[in-house]
Amino acid sequence: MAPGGNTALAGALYSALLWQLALLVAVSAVVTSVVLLRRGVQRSSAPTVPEPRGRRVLRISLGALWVFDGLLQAQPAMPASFVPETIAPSLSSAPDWLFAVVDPLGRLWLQHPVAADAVTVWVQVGLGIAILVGGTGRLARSVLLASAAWAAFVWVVGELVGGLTDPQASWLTGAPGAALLYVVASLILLLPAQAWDGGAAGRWARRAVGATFVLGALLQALPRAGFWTPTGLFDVLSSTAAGGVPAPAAAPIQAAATAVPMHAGLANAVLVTVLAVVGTGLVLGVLPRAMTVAGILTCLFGWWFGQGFGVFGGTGTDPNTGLVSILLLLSGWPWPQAATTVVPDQMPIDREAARAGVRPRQTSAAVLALGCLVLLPIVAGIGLLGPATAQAAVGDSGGVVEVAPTPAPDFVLTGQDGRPVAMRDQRGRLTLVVFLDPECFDSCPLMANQLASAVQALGPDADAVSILAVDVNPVFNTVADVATFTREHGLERLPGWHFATGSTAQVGAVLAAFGEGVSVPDVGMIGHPQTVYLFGRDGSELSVLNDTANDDLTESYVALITGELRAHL
Amino acid sequence: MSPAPRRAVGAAAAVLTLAVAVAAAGCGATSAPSVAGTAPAAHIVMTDARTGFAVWPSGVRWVVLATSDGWRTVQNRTPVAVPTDGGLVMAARGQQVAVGVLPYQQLTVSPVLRSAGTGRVWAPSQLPSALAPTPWSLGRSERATYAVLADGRVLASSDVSAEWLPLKVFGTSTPGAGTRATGLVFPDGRTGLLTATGPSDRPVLLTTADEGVTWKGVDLPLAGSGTAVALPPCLAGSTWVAPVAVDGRLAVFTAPTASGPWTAGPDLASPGTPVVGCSAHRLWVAVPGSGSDVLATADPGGAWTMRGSVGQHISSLAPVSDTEAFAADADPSRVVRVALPSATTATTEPLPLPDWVATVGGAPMRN
Repeated sequence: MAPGGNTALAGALYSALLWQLALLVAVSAVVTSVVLLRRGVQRSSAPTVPEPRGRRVLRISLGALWVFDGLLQAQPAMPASFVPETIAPSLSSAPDWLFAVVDPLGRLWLQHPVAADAVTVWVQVGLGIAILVGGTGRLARSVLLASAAWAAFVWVVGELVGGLTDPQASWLTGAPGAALLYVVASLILLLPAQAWDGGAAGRWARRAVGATFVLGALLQALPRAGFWTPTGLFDVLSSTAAGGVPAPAAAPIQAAATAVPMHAGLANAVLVTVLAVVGTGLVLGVLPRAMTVAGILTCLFGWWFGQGFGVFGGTGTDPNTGLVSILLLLSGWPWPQAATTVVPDQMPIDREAARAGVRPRQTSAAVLALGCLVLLPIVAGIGLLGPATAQAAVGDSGGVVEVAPTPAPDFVLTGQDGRPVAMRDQRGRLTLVVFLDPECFDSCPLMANQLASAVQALGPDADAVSILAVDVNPVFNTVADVATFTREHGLERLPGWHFATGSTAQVGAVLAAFGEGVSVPDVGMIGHPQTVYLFGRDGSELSVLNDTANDDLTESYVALITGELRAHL
Repeated sequence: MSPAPRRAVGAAAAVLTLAVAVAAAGCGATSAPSVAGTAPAAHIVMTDARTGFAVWPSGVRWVVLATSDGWRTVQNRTPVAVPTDGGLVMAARGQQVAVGVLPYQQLTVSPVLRSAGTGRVWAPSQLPSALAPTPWSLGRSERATYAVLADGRVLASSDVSAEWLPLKVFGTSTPGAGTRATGLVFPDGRTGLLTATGPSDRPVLLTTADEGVTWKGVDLPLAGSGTAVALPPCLAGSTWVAPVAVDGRLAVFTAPTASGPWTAGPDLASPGTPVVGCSAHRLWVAVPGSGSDVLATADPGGAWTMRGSVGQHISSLAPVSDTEAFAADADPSRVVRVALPSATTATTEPLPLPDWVATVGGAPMRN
């Protein structure tokens, strides 16, 4: 992913988030005022019940995690990089059913990166605030159900079922997925108060974490995963150390990575044994305090050495399973009953609470949370419904890069009609120069048609633009070859279209003048540049665009190129 | 996240299960591909008893392999700078071999490359549109290469020119309504037989004795109705053979000359499309079933002799003598040598291909 795309999209994201936040504040102020005016400010405390310590730990943790995850989703690189760097690499080897589910959503994100990211930010921040506001009423339970549902969605789409379909899935690196633990946490918070008072909720929390340990032991022990080999754990550790973890924390990981290959079998045996023993203990409820402590220590180790704390690198979306497991275990700790800590029995705008009047601060928080969770995702999500804009192409390609004006290389080749085509003859018109292969089945026809559509979109101004494509196939470089491509793709109707070819030496000189080259593999298409060069009417270079020929973003590229041409007409 | 490579993987996998076949000419032995399907298939062409070429699946692409020792060793002879993702077709005769590239995604025309013998150097040319998706849509006579296009046109290019000229096979350069040319073979190097599908899915056969200048329709006495597909004809000794696949059976027509008269022999039950090949005195057939049953007859049109099952579905059968043939089956890691040591038996010998054959075409991936 081009850094330029990240920068340009980050600006667009923050701009969108800012005005959406302003909208939220305004709407919240109005709604809060109306609620307070209609229901009246509560004079005395509403009936309250003490919230069990474990539940409080888990609720605040989950709420904070959602808010934190929402903020992580607002990192500058997210709109442009989340799908290409976080999802796409794993998706390529995912089972067909999972691919079928995730691929359309990934495409939707690529077409509307800012809107999709904004929706994700607001949903997660909204969930977090709503959970932090607390309560046990119907609305609060709905929020927890929404939390479980969203986490399940994230588990499937964002984490590709926690990476479990990957043969190298490892507890150490986060299997079975943090989002699955969010689901568990949300469901445990839905348990009735008696479950917390009697310790059942805490046991479920410990069992859930214990189950992930047992599963982790199995994954770690499977020979197909390769963790018994010298490179197995080494790859995990060295990858973690190189994943953006701050240097002081990375040094011990790197040291462990260096030591592991010499004792690969032993190291994995210890890990498998610890996971199996502690996991079984947690599931069966044996020595709960001791097993909880052991579980927390094991999770700390995994969170540090296997997951690098989960949030570094610019595209981390959550702190990974280590921290969530620790928080679940803490919620399952046999806490003494807290007699002094209270929470409102209902969310402040619930009906029962409303009868007794409402508290201004909590009402504001609740309205803000619900606005964040419902209103803003809808507002931001409207952007997902329209066609892809130039924004998507910016995210995909890095956008148009303006360059210092330099004279165009001068060259003369032969066009599709057999007549000479000279770069100098294009002066007086804007000229797009690209390198294409008439035998190419994907990027070249797409790029040619994107350029042609962008020029045609200029209407009467289209006559002021030339497209000069250079045939860089060293084998298929006859006039007939470029003429056939021109005819087959309907480009002969475009007056300014030139598909020029020449001898290998002639084309090689042109490529060299542009600082480009081609590769010719033993089998298959040639590799060639996909840069679009724009030259001004005076023949000087104005800008370049790295067109990825992404067929999902054709409209977006057309919009981007059209905009660039209009800017220089 | 283009899904394109996924489709290629699917197509490559499908190929291995569809019995589409081939055969070619050379050294007195001819063989024939089978069905007019749309999926590319592995295809072996022998130019003498030990020398030959094959188009073969490799990763997400197709490659051209060559051998000079009966597939004990192989070389990669894939033309460069051309996408082979959609499949290849091949024809050879004597020292000339031609490879055609099937269309793929937005590659809507078919490049054709020709080489004199070794396949080390290829001369490129470009057809005006796509080749018909049959293994015998490229044909070789002694002096020219012929191409049958998906739109029904038939073109020819002499060995001294890169230019492709249209042939007036149907009186004009394009077939009439309801007629679709599927392929063209030159079993003896001089006499061409063009297969086509006519109205109501009836097979049409035309022949030329003057390198495609004039054409004459051939009357096949095909009984009954139903969908019938003309498979590529071949020449077994002095007997011309025209196989036709008809709804679960193989009808074999024979004639003393390419222009007839053609007479029908007994049908052979075939649950799928059979693979047919000719050697000097025998007609070979591999019939898909649980495996591929190889049958042969020294009396084409007469009695068939069951020679035994040779394992997985054969998609290409190239006889090099009356007792030996090379075949491609569902396992792309090998070529199968089929021998007929006696009147009633067939034996097979797998000839493993080197590991690079499976990978040189690129690993499957999604992006």
